[in-house]
Amino acid sequence: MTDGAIVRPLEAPARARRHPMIRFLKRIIPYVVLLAYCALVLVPIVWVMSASIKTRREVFLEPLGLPEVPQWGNYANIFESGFQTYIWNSVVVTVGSVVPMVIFSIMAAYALARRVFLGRKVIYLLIVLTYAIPVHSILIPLYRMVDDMGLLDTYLGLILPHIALGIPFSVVILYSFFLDFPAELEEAARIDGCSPWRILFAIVLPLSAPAVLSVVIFQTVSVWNEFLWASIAASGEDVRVWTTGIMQFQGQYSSDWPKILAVVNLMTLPLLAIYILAQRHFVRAFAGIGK
Amino acid sequence: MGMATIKRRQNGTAFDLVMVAPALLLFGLFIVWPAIEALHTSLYDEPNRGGGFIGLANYRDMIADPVFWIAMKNNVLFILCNLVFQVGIGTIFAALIDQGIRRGSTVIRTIIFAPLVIAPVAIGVIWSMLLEPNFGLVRQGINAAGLPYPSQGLLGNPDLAFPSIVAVGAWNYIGFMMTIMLAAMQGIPRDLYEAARIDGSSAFQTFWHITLPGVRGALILCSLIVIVGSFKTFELVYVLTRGGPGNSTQVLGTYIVEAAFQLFRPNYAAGMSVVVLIVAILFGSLQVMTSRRAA
Amino acid sequence: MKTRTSLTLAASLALLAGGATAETTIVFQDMGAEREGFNEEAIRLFEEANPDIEVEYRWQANEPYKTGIKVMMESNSPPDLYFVWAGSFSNDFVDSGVASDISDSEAAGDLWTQGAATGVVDQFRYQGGLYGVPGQVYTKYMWKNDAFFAEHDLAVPETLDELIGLCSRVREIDPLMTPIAFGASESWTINHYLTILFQRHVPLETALADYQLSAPADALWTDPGYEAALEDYVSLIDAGCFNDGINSVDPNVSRTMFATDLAAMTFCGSWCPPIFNEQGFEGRYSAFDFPAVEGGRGNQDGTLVGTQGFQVAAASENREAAIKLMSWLLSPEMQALQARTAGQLPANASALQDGDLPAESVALLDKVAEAPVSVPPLNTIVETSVSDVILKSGQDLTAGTITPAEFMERVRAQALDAKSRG
Repeated sequence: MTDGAIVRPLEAPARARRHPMIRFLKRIIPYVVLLAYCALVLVPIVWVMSASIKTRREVFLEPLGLPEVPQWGNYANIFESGFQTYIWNSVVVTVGSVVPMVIFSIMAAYALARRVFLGRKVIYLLIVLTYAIPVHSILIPLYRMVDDMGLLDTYLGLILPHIALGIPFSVVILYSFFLDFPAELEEAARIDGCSPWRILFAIVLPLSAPAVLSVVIFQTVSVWNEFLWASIAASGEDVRVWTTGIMQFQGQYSSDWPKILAVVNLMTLPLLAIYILAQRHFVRAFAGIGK
Repeated sequence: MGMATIKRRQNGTAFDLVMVAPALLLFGLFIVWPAIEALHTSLYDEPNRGGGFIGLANYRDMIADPVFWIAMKNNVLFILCNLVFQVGIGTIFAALIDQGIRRGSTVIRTIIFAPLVIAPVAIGVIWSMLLEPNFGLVRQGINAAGLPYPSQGLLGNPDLAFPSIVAVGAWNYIGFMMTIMLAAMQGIPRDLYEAARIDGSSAFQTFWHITLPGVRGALILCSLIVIVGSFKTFELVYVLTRGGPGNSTQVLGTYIVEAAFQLFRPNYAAGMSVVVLIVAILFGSLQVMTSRRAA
Repeated sequence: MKTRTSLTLAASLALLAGGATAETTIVFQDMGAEREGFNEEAIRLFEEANPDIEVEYRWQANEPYKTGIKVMMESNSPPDLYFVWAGSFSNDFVDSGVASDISDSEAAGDLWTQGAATGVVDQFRYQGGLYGVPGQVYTKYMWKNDAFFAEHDLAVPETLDELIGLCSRVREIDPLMTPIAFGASESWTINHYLTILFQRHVPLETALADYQLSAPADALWTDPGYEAALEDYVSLIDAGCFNDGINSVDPNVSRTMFATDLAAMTFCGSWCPPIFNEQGFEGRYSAFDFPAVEGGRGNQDGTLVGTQGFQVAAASENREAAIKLMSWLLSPEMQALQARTAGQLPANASALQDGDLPAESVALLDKVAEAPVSVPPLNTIVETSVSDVILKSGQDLTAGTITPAEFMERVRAQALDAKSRG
């Protein structure tokens, strides 16, 4: 304590002491909260990575330590058991579903939003009303129908319902985007004698990239991760996808956590990597759904 | 001029038809038709009991079926809890990032959003291991902190299993909600905040009077996404508990699948589907009402 | 589709190599990873002996299979030959008309009938027909960690009270050692305890009449023995016999706990030794009978014996080929191979020489033969909807959210409902 401190008026030092403290807390608390939550997100992810190269015993007894000898064999095992076929099937089903789904949705949403024809309001209403329908609400008749078409255990049996189930949400998002599209551009093109097709492809679409990308990313993630329909419509092995494959793998090695986690990791890391690299697009895509 | 108009309209009609047809065809065939079929078959007895017309008997069974009501209750609870945790915490985190911190926001955002790209099935597998009652990381962590761990574990205890699923769901989706809210918050003009600061508003007052009204639309959207998503829930419950212990975490999705494909009661399951369909369509009309540009 | 292509490719390669053509393709749907090695070998040999038949073999793990097979059988293209548990599980397929009556094959004296034990085959008789054949029998025993028992001078418990005493003893010796490893994330494992405890407490005829809903409505599931059995089950939990979180422990994790010296005992099937051995536990464990219940009105030295086997799909377009494969899997050679590679007990042991089987299998088969009474697991013989209530309520009982009395109320209510529906 110096003399100067004693001489100061009583109130001033009190404020001076509290003020930086509060300011400090105000600055620090958001960081503390957010970083604590980040840890909560990261610990499981890091745990999966390290556990996937441990022995069973290490996973059970030393969950946080590093593996003594990394067990890369857990990954080799995935390919020996033919998991790459499931991954390939997932790729085919995802691409085969999302591409036509988005094209059809763009076409429908554009016509519904920008054109005048009989019944468009009814059609749009019908589509919006069903966008919340989960697959389990039509599971049994859908299953019987796909079976009657002879499409069980085929790519098409997975793809066609995926397209149909993805259409309502995609149309709703794209519809609201097209509705905001400046009419002047279209009108100018029409006066220039452009056909409606040209207007769509040459003028509207190039300017719609953000909305379309939103839908593509969102639906790709949805179809890639889908499990219920795949487990019912492709219960055989012909077109088993990775999500149902992982459940089979879990049934096979249920106490061998490292082996299962190796699969989980293998299926999660690429998506995480893509996400981190293309983060801006992802965030914009998901935030864009809000626009 | 008259000729030209007519020609354009004809052109237009063909164009419109081609544009709408593929989506409408697939939509009608794979959604509308099965929905009608679900309603139709729900009026019949099970195939292995003769399959005769029984009117509303399946629906009467449903009303008397305690498991159906557990599933219904859990679905509603799931929506409410997810609204509170996912939208609530997501909004708070978004506000903290938007207003509270200056450095490192990109890294923090990236991390919190990350679980969204992990498949629900994989999340279920990971968390069923983390929550394993004897060796799971969660137990080891709680014990290391000197705290007792419930002897039935979390997923094995009918009272704790459901909250655990809610927590895992929050882990999965908070980042999504945060991202939407953050985008909306960043659209609020900065000078509003500046004015509030000059007026001497507290952080809470600023949040309440400026941030929240500014993100009203995004908040409604988040709520809709969460309501619809929670209502559709299947994978997380299926992988974590399969609706158990007992029927304590059964939701409509898991119970419909179980009734149809494990208990051999597909038409009863179709009846429950119809209930789900009706609720889903109600949510759909919610979307129509909240959308300012509704048809 | 890719698989199809590669199959065609394989077929044309076979054509080039051997000149034989596979005219018929049958789909064989089995259950369980533990049978994969055996099936692949058995099918290879089968295709060698029958070059005109090609077998497409698929399998699913236990829990997914229960839903999976019902989905497949509901479809227009079910597998030709498929795995079933004998009892209500296999009968459900008969009721829904998707299983084929193979009485004609039995009358014709097809290969599989030679050496098949009648008592076991009878489990597939239903409504005047024969719907399936036994492929394996399975039984369930208590297994103990021999070294741990010897080191601490522990005696094998003869009665349930002794077992409960033993549990506290194990906890005293080593608080970290689980007395009995038990995982019931798949609730059939609880069912197996209840099967044995019901057997100890309830007279056999009473129990069978309840299981098959043939008892008069006012007597259905009313024997006080059931509640006493459930009380016993709860007292095992309360005495700390099991690990934590029974309801969310995977059955395979409980086997691993036992095989890695983390548990002194476990109640596990005849299919478990290969699983223990795989983790290096070979020769360090042995089986003992589930203890008797003093004062129980049921059977005190009976055991659980279940039968599993195969059904032929009614919709099969290649019924003959499917029956051929079925016969093949039941032949003495394949049954012996199955015992050696999958560790599963043969269904037609009488046709086998002792030398054909591993010593472990012989010992278990002897135990089965010695048991005066054997009952299949509850969930395979009790009517499906009642069984579902027992399965689900078992987890509730384990968690302590319902009492034994409430458990029985639920069972009775469902049984009456099922009986009234016929």
